[in-house]
Amino acid sequence: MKNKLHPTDDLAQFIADGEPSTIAYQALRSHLASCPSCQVLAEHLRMTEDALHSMPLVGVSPALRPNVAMIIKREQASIPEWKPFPKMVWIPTAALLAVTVAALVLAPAGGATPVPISLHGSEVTSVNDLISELMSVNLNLNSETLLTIGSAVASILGGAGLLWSLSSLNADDRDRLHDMNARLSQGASHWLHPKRD
Amino acid sequence: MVDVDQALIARCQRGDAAAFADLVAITQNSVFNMAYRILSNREDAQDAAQEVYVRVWQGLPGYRSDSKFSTWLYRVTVNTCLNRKRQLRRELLTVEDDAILETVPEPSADPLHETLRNEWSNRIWKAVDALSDKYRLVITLFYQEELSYAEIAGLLTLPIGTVKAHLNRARLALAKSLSANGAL
Repeated sequence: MKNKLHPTDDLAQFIADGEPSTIAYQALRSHLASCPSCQVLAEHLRMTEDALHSMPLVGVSPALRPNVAMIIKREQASIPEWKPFPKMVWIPTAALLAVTVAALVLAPAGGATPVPISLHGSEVTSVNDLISELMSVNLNLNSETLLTIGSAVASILGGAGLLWSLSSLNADDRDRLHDMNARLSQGASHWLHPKRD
Repeated sequence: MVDVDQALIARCQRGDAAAFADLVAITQNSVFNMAYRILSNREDAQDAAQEVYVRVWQGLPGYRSDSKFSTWLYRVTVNTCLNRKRQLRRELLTVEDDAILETVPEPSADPLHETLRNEWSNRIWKAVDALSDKYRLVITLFYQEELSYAEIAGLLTLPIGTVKAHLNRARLALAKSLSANGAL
């Protein structure tokens, strides 16, 4: 709120920021020329302004640096808190793992024997045959074939997503990965070479 | 605030404690003085400055060099101090009328200031200490840290007009207070 009789706010701004040649400041200057109380205030503001620019610093406590160093040392010594990976890493990872597990569970017991895929009554023996058959209009895919194709597509997408995620990690994420790697190595080492008391 | 070398910041980001000790040495004057001006108490300022550096250490891996380090450090310092004075955040949003300027109390004797060399500065800064928290904060940022109106507005998330109004109120209060106490 401005003083109705004297433009004190404008005067304070005027003294602090110099003397811009705007119309508002020209009006202020003409008020200043004819108002003794504002002239006194302007002089006090100038002296205050000068004093404020030569501000003394308060001495820093000598204990500050050692205290900070001690806290940092304690932080470094303590086991870092577990932080979950960002979504862009764990979603493709989880998808890839899920697909792998599903493929292992649903794989035929015979294992290595390839199951011929039958489309339109003819046996498909190569990828080219499969693509050319898939391009035809009347598909006759059974559930096993669909599962195989779906698993392959999901694996490719999951793998590509994981590669993309790993390539776009920032420094913080990389630190977390290094931390996880160190934990896993340490755990494996303890498991393989248990200490004997 | 003295600007900090990017190479030193990079070393700190890699977890180099010795580099961080150097960073503390370079910036502690500004951080401690800002905390002291906001909190008006040496012990509180010391605690706040420690908290600032712990937060900086923890936050450094996420710090991006596209913003000035000093600006980020100011923000951490101001936010840490404002968390200790929660009512101040609300007070900053209001601009009082001129009547409040007439009631700035006469500064009381403070042993800390007796070591100051200049009597004139001593009087002025005692008067600053007697200002209300929000005026002391903007005066400190503008005159001690030499931030611009826009920088203060960004730091305190206030409109520039509010920052200017707070500063003008504080300047007028100091001029009137010193004049009334016979210092001018």
